[in-house]
Amino acid sequence: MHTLKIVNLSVSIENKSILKDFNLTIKSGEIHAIMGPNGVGKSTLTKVIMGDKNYKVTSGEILFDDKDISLLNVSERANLGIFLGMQNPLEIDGVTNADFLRTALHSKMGKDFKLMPFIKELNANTDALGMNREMIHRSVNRGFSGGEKKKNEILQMYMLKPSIVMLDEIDSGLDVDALKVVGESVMKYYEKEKPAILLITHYQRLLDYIKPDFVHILIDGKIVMTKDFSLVKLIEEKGYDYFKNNDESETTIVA
Amino acid sequence: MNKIIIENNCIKENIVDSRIEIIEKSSIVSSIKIIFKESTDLKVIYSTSEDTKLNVEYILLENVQVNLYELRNGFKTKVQYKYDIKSNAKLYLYRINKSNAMREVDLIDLNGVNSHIEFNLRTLSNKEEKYDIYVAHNEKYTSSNINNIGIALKGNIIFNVTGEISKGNSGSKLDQNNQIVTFNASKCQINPNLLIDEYDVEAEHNAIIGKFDDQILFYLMSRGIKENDAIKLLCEGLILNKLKESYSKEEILDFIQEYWG
Repeated sequence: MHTLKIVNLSVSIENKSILKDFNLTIKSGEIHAIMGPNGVGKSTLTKVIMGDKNYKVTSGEILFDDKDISLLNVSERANLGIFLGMQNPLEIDGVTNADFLRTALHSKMGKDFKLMPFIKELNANTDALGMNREMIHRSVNRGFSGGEKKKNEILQMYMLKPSIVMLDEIDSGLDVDALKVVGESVMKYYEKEKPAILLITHYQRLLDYIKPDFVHILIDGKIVMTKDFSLVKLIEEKGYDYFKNNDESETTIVA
Repeated sequence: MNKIIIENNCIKENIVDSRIEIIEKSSIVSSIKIIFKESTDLKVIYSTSEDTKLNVEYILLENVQVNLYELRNGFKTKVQYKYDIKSNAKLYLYRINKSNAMREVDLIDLNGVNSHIEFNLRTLSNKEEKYDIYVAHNEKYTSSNINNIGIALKGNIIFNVTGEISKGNSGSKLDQNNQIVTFNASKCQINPNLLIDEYDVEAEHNAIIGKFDDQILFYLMSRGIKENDAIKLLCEGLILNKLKESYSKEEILDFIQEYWG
C-alpha cells in the first residue's frame, strides 16, 4: 500500500502563481480524475509531483508514504514508483525504445536486471497493446502517430510497474479505437497491480473505460469540488463555467 | 568487407580485393592513396599510439559507388584527406573519431557531373579538435550532404565547413548540418560558409551548439534514468543515428564506453 499526499502545495513559474494551497491524497487501489478547463494547473501538478525543475514550489509538501520527496530529483522519484504518462511524449532521435527501456529498468533494478526476461516481457507487452514489434527497435516516438505515442507511454508503464500512475491527457489525439485500447490497457494494469491512478483529462470519454473513484474539479490552481463519478455528468451538463461562478463550487465536497 | 588497419602513419594490415588499389608513400609526412575502381565497401581502422601526421587520398573513378566506414582512436592526430570524385561516382562516408586531440582537413573535389558525397562525421572530443571541411562543386549536378556531430563534454570542437559552387555548375545541391553537444558553448564553434556563384542551385545549412533539451532529459529521467546515464544515452543516440546500419552496434558502443570511462 502506497500513499501520495500533497499538502498545501503552492507552485509558480516565472513569477506566475499556478497552484495555490493545493491538497490531495491518493492511495493504492484508488483512481482519481482531475478535470478542468485549460490553463488551471492540471499538467503543472503532475510535472511538479514528478520533479520538473522548471516549476518553483513556493510552499507545501509532497509526501510519498509520509516521506517528503521535495528534495529528490526526477529519476529518484521515478524509482520510488511514480510514473507520469505524458500529454505530448517527446521524440528522441537515435535512442531506440528497447535501449530506453533497458536503461530505465537497469537503473531501477541494478544487478537484478536480466536481459532475456526483459526481451520476453517487452515482446509480450508490445503484442498485448497491439503494437508492431518492429516499433521496439525504432527511435523513441519518432514517426509515431498520436495513438502510437500514447500506447508507447502505456508500454513504458507496463514495463516499469509503477505504484503511483499519473496520466496527463492520455486521451488527447486518440481516435475511438486507440482510446479503447489505451483505456482498457490502463484498466488491465490497474486490475493486476492495483496502483494509485491520477488521471488528468478534459473530457468524459476516457472515463467510459477508466472509472474513477473520485472526480476533482480544478479551477484556478485549487480543487473546488470533489465527488464520485456522478460529478462527470454534472460537468457535461453545466460546463466548467458553472463551477467558476456557482456558490456551490466554493465548498469542497468529499466523496 | 574490405578492410585496412592503419597504425600511426602506416598500413599494418590490408585485406582488399581487386576493386581497390592502394599506394603508400613514406616521406616526411606519410601518405596513403586509395583508388576505388569499382563499387564496393571499405572499413578503415586507425589507431595511434603517438602523435601522428598523415595524408590520405581517396579517388573514386567514374560510376563507382563506395560505402566507406572509418573508426579512429588514439593519440593526437593530424590528417589531411583529399577526395577526388569523378562523374556519376558516389561516396558515402561514415567516420567516428575518438582521438585525444584532432586536427583534420578534408578537401573534397566533386570533379565529375552528377558526382556526390554524403559525409557523416561523429566525434567524441577529449581535448581540442579542429576540422576544416571544404567541398568544391567543380561540375554541374554535383551534390554534397555534410553531417557533423560532435560530443564535447570534455574537450572543445571547431567545425569550419565551406561549400563552394562556382559559376556554371548549375543544378548542384549543397547541404550542411553541424551540431555540437557541449556544456560550454563558448569554447566550441561552428563556422558554416556557403560560397555560391551560380543562380540555379540549392544550398542550405543548419548549425546547433548547446546542451540537450531540458524536457528530453526530464522525459528520460521520469523513467528512472539518472541524469548522467540519460546524457550518455542521448550521446549514444546521436552517434549511432544513421551509422547503426553500417557498423555493428556493439563495436560503436564499446567505442563510446571508452569515452565515458
